[in-house]
Amino acid sequence: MKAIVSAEPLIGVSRTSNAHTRYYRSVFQNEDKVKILLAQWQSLGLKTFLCPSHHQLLEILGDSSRVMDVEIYPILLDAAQYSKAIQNYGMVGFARRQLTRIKIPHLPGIAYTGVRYLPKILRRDFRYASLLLASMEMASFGRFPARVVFLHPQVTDLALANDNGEFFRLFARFVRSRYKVEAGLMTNNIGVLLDRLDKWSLDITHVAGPVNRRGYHMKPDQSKCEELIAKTKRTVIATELSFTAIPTEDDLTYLNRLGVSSFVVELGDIMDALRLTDLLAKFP
Amino acid sequence: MKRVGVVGMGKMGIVHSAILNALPDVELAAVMDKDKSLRQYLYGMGIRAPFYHSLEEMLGKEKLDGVFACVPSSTNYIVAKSCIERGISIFLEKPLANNLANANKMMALVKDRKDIKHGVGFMMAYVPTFCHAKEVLQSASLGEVREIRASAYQSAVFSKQKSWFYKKEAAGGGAVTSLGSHLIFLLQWLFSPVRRVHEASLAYSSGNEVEDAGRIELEMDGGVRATMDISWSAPGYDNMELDILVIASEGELRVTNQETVLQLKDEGVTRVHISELPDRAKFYLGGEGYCQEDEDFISCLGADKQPKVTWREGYWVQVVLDAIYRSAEANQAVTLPGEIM
Repeated sequence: MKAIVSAEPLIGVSRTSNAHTRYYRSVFQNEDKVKILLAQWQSLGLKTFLCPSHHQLLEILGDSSRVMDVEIYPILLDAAQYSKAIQNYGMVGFARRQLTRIKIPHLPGIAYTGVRYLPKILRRDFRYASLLLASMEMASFGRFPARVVFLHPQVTDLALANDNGEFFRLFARFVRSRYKVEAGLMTNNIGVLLDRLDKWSLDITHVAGPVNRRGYHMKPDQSKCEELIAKTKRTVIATELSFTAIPTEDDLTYLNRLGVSSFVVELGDIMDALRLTDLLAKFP
Repeated sequence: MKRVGVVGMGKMGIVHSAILNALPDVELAAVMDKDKSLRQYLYGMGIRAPFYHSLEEMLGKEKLDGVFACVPSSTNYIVAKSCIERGISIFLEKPLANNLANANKMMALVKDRKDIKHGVGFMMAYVPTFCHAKEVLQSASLGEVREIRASAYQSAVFSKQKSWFYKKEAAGGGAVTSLGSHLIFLLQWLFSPVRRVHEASLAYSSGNEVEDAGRIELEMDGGVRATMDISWSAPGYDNMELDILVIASEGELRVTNQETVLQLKDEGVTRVHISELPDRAKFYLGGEGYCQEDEDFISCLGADKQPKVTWREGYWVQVVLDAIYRSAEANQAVTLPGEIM
């Protein structure tokens, strides 16, 4: 069983609750403290992170990666963050901020994508504008080795609702050809997505979404999700596995039963990490 | 198959369009926005319904059973009037209107019109924790309610913004209208109508026309006092968090978006997380409650029923909002008209 650590708590963001968000914000205010904690986690073998393209976060992880190996699963296209940034800085200010963060070595690659899709971007085609934004975000992950790149659940679920398989096909083709990595989709509708990916015959290798004993957020319903997860050949990564800080043995037994071998976890401190590694030892 | 249209293709218009596309037995038959350049953008997103940039053209050409209006609150009345005159049912994003005068005009539109189904986007009525709290309160185990303390926080606005959402005339107000209206709706839905605004103080910190925070003291029907603390500039709340604490003769109930905590005298604490409550939505997009509110409205089209949250509930909220702004401006208590309920 593999635990993928969510990097979001390190920037004070929790998917679990606002109470966790406030806790992480208070705990992880100090960058040095975060680096020490990262080193502790890594020493326990927790080196795989699910990570949004957050400038400060990637700087910290970059510093840590000079000391130890880290494996990153990037999450691209967080629509809510884009919306907030545009609201705060305006479209021009947002574009300026994005551009100033790009390091010179990455400019040619982004320019290539921009020029290649320019007519479609100028026609305001959401799909190709998204690929350009994705290439800008991928530039910030440049120093980290990645095997799979995930699309943010908001964008995945928007495309899924609109039956927009073409967008997923473009995204998968783009990341494979441009970055030589597999495409993954994060979702809050895992059963609906697995079913639709099969119908579209889409070669998306990784899907991450809610899988838990309570059936919470397992759409369209728990039994349908369990059936699809158990038979899929895609790699399923469980999110929202537990509603306590660390999953329980029963949670991991449930995943085992469904054939799911990875899950995403939020860690608040070294004790969380120790409890997690103890648990993982029972599920080799 | 119900044919529906969406008017206003901003964030909420896109969310409702996508949910409608995901629901069975619904055809997203048309979308409309004044900004013509959105057509291609929406197409790429997968929203392939015919695009119109004129409401009259859309309503004239398409035979629709219902319309979802996600426009600035100040234009709700215009959209509603056009739809209702054609016998088309309408769901509005909250609040009902930008001011009480327009809300009154809107209520006149649906008076004696049983054929028109009217919904308003107070989706908290569909969030499992608040539904559970309603059941707990109806069970009477808490005894007599003595006091209510409510808060609504979000980390959203920290600087001057350009959108209509931050203009008093278009939006009707700021944090109190946007976040506080959810609390006002919940207080009246869970307990009783608001009878009096004792005190309301508003704070302006981001440089916008509208308020960023508010502290309000209300009196509910029956004399129970309720306080509301509201801010959309509170750090640590990436997602909006509503929190209602009910202090009663036999114990306390706390309800948030994520859990209910019931503590009865001489008994332990019963904590129920949202994941333990029934959730009937078949799809999740935009947050808890959105899919269910759309499903509910659609199920009413052509049926002899109204959605869970109608314009009537929206109007009650509007009356309280109006009283809050008047109270804050005059720095005095405002009593609500008794007959509105």
